[in-house]
Amino acid sequence: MVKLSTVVVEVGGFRLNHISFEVRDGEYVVILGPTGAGKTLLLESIAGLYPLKDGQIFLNGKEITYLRPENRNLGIVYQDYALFSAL
Amino acid sequence: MTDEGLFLFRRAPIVQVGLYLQLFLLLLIGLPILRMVLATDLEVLRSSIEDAKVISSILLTLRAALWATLVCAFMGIPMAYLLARHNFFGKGLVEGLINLPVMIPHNAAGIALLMVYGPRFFIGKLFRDLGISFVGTEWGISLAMAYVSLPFLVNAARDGFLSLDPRLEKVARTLGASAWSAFFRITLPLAWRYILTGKIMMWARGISEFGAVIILTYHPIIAPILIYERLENYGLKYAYPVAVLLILLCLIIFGLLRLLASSERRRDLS
Repeated sequence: MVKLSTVVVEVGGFRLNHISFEVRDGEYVVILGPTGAGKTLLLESIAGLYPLKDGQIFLNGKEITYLRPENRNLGIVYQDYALFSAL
Repeated sequence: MTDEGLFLFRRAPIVQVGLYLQLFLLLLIGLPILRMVLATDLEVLRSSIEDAKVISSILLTLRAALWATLVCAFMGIPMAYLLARHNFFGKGLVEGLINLPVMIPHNAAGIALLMVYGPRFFIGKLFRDLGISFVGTEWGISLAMAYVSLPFLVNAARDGFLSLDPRLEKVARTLGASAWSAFFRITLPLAWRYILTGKIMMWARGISEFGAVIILTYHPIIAPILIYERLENYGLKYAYPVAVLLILLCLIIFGLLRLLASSERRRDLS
């Protein structure tokens, strides 16, 4: 499961303010919002691509807030697939 | 080739105007070089090839510009990456400073370099204590070339990094690559063609440098200064062949490098 506890992320002038939610095993969760709402930034923050200003992230009960992206064992797929153009 | 390609008058007027203007610009660039090559006396050209001073000055020019390019690539590519991917305080100022050498007269740049790296300033003294002098040495030639040609490399590399979707790196990170690994295995190989073009441009600009080098280092003599010296002392007839030789050599080298850059591109696209 994934759990976010009062997560704060700031990139440039944009800020995700105190986001908390929990996704349990076997659940599907849809995050809805207009363009620029911060949906992608939220996913990227869970993946570890942006450092948190505050809050914690847990994966299967283990805190991963300070783990590097490559050590989180967590993948994301963008809506336009990231295909490596040289492949 | 299609009919359209053969008959320019069938194209839209704006395309026709563009094509004729392009022809004019190509003549503007190519005609003086063609005229110079054709006007060269073969005998004098042969004697220039056999002239050890000419050959050593051309080799020195190529070598000094290559050193400048290699050292600046080592420092300039990470800087270009930083400028392309990150925002930081004073970024606009840094970008302006990088492009400054393009705007200032090159002999003024030479004087500015002399005032910092010459023996009267503490930085110049520091290097002198380390056994490196920038006045009248190959170090000085490379320094002057690096100063005036660095913007070409940094700008090309930055454009290369900007042309890549940052998501490629992000996805690589979530697939287990460290930041360094993502840079070396994803970003650098994809931006390589831009970087190679930047290196070629920087090297070419370094080879053609005259103003900044002559202030720092007259001897050992580089080819552009030798051309000027021969023009001053012996006249146009003896300046031609050295210039022609340098131009021909550069054309061959850059032709080969451009070929390499375009074949990299074809491989990327296939």
